[in-house]
Amino acid sequence: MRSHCYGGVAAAIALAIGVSLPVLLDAQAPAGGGQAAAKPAPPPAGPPPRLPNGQINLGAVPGQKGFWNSFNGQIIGKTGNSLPTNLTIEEVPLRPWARALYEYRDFRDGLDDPHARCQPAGGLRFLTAPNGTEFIQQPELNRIIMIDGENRDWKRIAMEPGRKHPSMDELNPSYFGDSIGRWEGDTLVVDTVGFNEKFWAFRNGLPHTRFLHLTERYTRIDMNRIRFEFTVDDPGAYTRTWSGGWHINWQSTNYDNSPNGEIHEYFCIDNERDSEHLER
Amino acid sequence: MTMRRHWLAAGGTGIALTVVLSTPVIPHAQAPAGDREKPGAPSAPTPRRPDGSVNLGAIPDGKGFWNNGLGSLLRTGDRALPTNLTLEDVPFRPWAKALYEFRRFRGGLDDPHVRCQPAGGIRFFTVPNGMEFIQQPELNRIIMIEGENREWRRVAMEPGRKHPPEEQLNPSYFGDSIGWWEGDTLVVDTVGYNEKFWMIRGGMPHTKFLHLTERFTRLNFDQLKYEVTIDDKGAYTRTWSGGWIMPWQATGYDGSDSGEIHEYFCIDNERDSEHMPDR
Repeated sequence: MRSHCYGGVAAAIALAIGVSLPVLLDAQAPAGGGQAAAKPAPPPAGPPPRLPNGQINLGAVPGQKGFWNSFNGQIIGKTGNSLPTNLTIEEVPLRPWARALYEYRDFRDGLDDPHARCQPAGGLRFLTAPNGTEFIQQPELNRIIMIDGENRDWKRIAMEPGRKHPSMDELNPSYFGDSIGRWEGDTLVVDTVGFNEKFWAFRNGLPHTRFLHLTERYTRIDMNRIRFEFTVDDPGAYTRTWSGGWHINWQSTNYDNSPNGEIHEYFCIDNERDSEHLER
Repeated sequence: MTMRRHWLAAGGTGIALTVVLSTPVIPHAQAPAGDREKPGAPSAPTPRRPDGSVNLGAIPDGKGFWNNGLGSLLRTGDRALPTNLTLEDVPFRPWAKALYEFRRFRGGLDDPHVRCQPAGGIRFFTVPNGMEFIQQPELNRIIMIEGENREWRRVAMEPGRKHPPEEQLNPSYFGDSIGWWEGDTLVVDTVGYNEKFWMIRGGMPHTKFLHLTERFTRLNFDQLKYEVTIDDKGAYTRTWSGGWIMPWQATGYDGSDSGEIHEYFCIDNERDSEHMPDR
């Protein structure tokens, strides 16, 4: 019975890998698609686009389509598209309880992940859930909306000059928290507090607490890439702040590689068949 | 039997709670926008974008959203359009009428949305927590976002765009939506729905043949007229229409002054489904 349960999970994971594999390749393909999937990553394509007001455009240029594919983001470690400054797991300043919990989650191989039971992808998870992400810049409304293919979720980054987070006792703990953004030159900096503790903020299961204060920095370094850097400030789970990041790739095809570049519809709850078979 | 009564009572509590939660919102939703102080004062005119098209959202540096949630296709309530049908006039096929009556008899207990399934079709506009339009003419699209489960859907606005052929449509909750402007009215044409949700609160049935034509007209600053034509040969003997007025809300959903859609996830609060009968 038990092996059966694990078998089901293994099959699901295998399926997930099977589904994502062509996407990873495609995400590294040049904008506009093409058959370069098996070749080394192409040279950067053109400078980052800008909005009429001169700001960096974090989305598609007028008349075009596409989205960011951040599924393969590396929170720690130096493999793949990670930044060279990323920490190894040994270097992450986990408090002892948090290290023990991380190791337990790792031992359990993700079986306890709330996201596998369709809980929203809060924190950095918003970026590392599959199915694509876009930024919708609305400077006239002092905000940026981020939309995600995963569960068709969206979150708001308030861009009002001088805006402050609500006081700690007024914050309603949530999956996406209270996000305030600003531009530092060509980098969008997003400062978020007010997370609840009901989700894994990091896909690999690194713990967080309600004290999590996340700083995210998005720099579109060329047409096809964002350099994404994050800083974790969570005195509940870590002994000091720590940082990491990766390069996020632009994808100009659909998620299944067909032409179009539009985020498709994916709802976990529509497909969720496993949780009652998972070990609780 | 006592068990059963207990479950039904729980369902009733849920409905009562929903009503209580929604009630304080309505006065705000009907309050004037901007600096107009007196309730009932005439609304400001329909705002426009720099290119002259109707602005379905907040004006620059403003906030607010449409208070969806309370619409009906029938001739009930203050917001219903005068042309709405009575229930007796809805051209149900016999099976669809029987199913609708059963769903009503059950008091909504079987509603997939109660189990956190996405708010597809007209349901997108009959769930609480607010919705907004994000117009991106430069990208040939309009994105609709809503507070309920923080969901969004896309309306493709490319001139001449067609729906994929039926065999290529992947049946979904939000379907394949194509939009265009007819004067000041946004028209959205959608096909490609799955059958896993109730297309509107209350449980009027639909099938995979559902083809919705939605018409959005911002009558003035504070009112959005929503009209929808239902073309579904699987469930209805002819096309039929209905609609209502959605009010603009310049405050937060709880009456606080933010005007920002808050975060609500059904799955975070879902405590009832395992206690419901007939799983």
